[in-house]
Amino acid sequence: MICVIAAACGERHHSESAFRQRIATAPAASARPNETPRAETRDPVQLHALTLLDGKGQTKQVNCVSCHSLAPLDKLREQQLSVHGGERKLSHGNLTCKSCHDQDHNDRLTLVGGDTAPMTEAITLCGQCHGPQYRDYKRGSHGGMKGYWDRSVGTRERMHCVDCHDPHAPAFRPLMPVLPPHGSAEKAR
Amino acid sequence: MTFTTRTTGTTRQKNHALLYPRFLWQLFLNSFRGGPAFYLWMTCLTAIAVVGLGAYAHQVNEGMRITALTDHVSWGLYIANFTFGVGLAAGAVMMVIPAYLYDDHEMHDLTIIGEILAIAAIALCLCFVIVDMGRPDRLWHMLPFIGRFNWPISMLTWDVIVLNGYLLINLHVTGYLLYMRYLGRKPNPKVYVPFVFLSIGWAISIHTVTAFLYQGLGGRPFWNSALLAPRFIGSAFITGPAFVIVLLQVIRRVLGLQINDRPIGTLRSILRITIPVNLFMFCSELFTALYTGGHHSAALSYLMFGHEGKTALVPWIWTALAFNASSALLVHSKVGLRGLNAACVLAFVGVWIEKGMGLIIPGFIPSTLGEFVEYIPTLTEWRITAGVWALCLLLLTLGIKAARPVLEGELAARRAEHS
Amino acid sequence: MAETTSTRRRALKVIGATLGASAFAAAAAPIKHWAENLSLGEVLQKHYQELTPEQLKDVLSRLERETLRKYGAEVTIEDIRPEPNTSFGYALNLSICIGCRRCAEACHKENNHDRATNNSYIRVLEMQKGSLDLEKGNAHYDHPVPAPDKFYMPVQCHQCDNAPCIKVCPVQATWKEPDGIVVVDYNWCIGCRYCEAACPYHARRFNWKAPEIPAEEINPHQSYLSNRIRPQGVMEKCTFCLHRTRRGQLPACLEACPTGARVFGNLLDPNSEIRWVLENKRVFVLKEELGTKPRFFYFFDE
Repeated sequence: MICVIAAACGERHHSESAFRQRIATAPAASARPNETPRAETRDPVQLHALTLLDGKGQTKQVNCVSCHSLAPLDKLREQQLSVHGGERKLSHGNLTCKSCHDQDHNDRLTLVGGDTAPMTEAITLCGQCHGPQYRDYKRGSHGGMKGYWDRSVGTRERMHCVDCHDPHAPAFRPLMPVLPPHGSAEKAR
Repeated sequence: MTFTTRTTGTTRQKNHALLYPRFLWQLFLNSFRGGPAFYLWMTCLTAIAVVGLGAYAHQVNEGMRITALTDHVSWGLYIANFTFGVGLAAGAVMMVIPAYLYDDHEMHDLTIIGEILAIAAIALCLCFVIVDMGRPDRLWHMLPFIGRFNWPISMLTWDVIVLNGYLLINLHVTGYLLYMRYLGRKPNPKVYVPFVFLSIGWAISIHTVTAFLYQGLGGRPFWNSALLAPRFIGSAFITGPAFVIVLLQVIRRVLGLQINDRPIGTLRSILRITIPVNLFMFCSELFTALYTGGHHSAALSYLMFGHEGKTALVPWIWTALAFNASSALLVHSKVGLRGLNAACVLAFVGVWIEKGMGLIIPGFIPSTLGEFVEYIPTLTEWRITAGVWALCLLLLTLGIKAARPVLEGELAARRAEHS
Repeated sequence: MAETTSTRRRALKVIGATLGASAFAAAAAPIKHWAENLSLGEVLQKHYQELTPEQLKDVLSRLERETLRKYGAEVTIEDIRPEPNTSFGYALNLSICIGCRRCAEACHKENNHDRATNNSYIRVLEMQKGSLDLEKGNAHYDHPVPAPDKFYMPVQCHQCDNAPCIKVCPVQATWKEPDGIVVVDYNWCIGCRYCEAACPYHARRFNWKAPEIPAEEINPHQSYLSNRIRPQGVMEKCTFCLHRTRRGQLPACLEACPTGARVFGNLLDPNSEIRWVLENKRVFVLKEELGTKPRFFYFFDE
């Protein structure tokens, strides 16, 4: 039961044409207001989706809430992680399902201190244990972003924690590097 | 109204605006007068020059990707030869110093040879710079006032000034002497002797400035040594005299001029000092790099011993060292002219390797990011290099040929004095 | 007898001269072909800083026409001036860079680099943990990253405040703009490569040939001093994507980074993220002892 929902900006990599469109319609530099200091603008943090494998082995983007609002939570067991496709185990330190998931509400997560938060605000939960990374994230030195550095002339979109870190196995998955440097006289070491 | 002149010849002062072009025209015609040996020599040189031109035309059209240069080793054979050529031009002044500063009269008669060699060597340098440029059509960008000349900050602008200045000084002195000879008049010392003295200091400056080009780059530790300029001057004063010793004998045989062995002896005495001094300075660099170790030794270590299987330059540098060492021994031992000539050839080639391939290339290996990317010149680069050398030997030949009347006159006068 | 010898000699000379002249012409033929592709406007064009606004407009439209002719792509080339009160800085988090080289790839695409050579302004070194010795680094790794005992260091132009490349250029084809970016006027550079020899960071690239890019892959949003397609025989380098950053956008390399290891912003803004990094992280620069004063800072989280 994998639902495929592309959130409005639900892909990790925006299509080229959409991006170019944004650049083309970007306000001209002369429209930049000259006042200092700039108003603080919060980056819109979009909870993008987990990248999962469907039955055919193809990657799909799935919004967590779409399933978690349907499945009764008390039945959550580690073995069921495999429903997300592929070999999935819970390997997030010493955490169990209950460490993060609210037993009474499928679409909420438990915060430290007993509060709950909707899944769209998972970043608050992540930040409670991973303070340094959350602080760095807020200060722009952790986590991808696209858009404008100068927020007085344009917006910026930030990645959400779960865009890169599967909360069940958060270790960043290795990638193959692209664009190997080479030329007519390049010699590998 | 007539002007009397001090020698035989024309007695009326004619219009130089008419005479000078005629003089140049005579020089040009003179280039085509000669025996079969002369024609064979000039035809071979022209053929090589045309091959070089063809290769250069390809390089201009297709881009420098047809060389072996890369973003790691971005200067190669051309700049190596340029550096060597500046040294040769500076070393040609080694005839001038004994002649004018030490009143060596026999050398005095022959200094025009050194000046012609300097002209040909500077032409060599200018050609190598042009063939190394990515955009030769934009050469005018370097002209002061017309383009943008980044003087005094860029050492390259200093190099442009001193090299062209040196060329002009030597052209003036040589041109004046030849022109006076053509007119049959005795040259006025006030017109050329100050420039001869100027050329002595100027020769030191051309090679010092060229050394400063490399010496000032903090990102290239192999070059960033205070010893580089002294090494350059030292090796310049090997190549100049070595070349002139052999050249004098060639002129003696080919032009039939009666040059005796004393000037050759003077130049040999110079070599007896400069060859060992050059070796000493190299050993000093060797010690500093290898004893200290660390990053500073990487380039020299690669040059002498290779790095992880990359040994392209190792045979070159050891050959150069062997040549330099054996020429040092030869020049100090009691060998005749033949032994001396061998020493000159060995020293010339040894310095060409050590200063060219052995200095410019290792400056780029390892790269500034620590990568060892080797450089082995392509056939195109060798062709262009050969073509430029051929062109400059052509100029040298024509220059000596044109200077023949001056040489003959000087030598005849010297003989008349002694008899 | 003497007359026949001299006429024979003259005949030989004439034949020789003719052969020589035709050999010369044949040898020099490729230069003629190259010269045909040069426009007089380009050869005579003045330095960027000396062009009047009209002349600059003419230059830009000429360049756009030439791009269409040579590459079959319609592009817009703008002249984007620096914004006031802006001074760019860039920081790189070595704790989270995984060496995937997507920054290098984004640069390759954004800046219209030659496709065949995978040219990019960014070179990523795989370094040994525990050592900052560049000689132990490797730019040619080809395995899933990050490897456990390695860290990754992308290197690009640091836009140094005391740049050796600016000092050595004989024709002032490269200079520092008011917002800190070191730029090159590609139509003024003579291709002597002295700046490439002077740069301690391997930041400069030379166009050993004219770049070859399929028309559909060309980024059509170009600017004169940054990502327009450079001609053969001139130098180029990273410009912090000034055609984007001077409009307030993030550079292409930063947007491509999947881990967010790159931080960019205005050093003059005390609230900027780059300032926060410089004030709160332990930053360092490469080869600080050379006194180049780079604007590209590296830091670790731990």
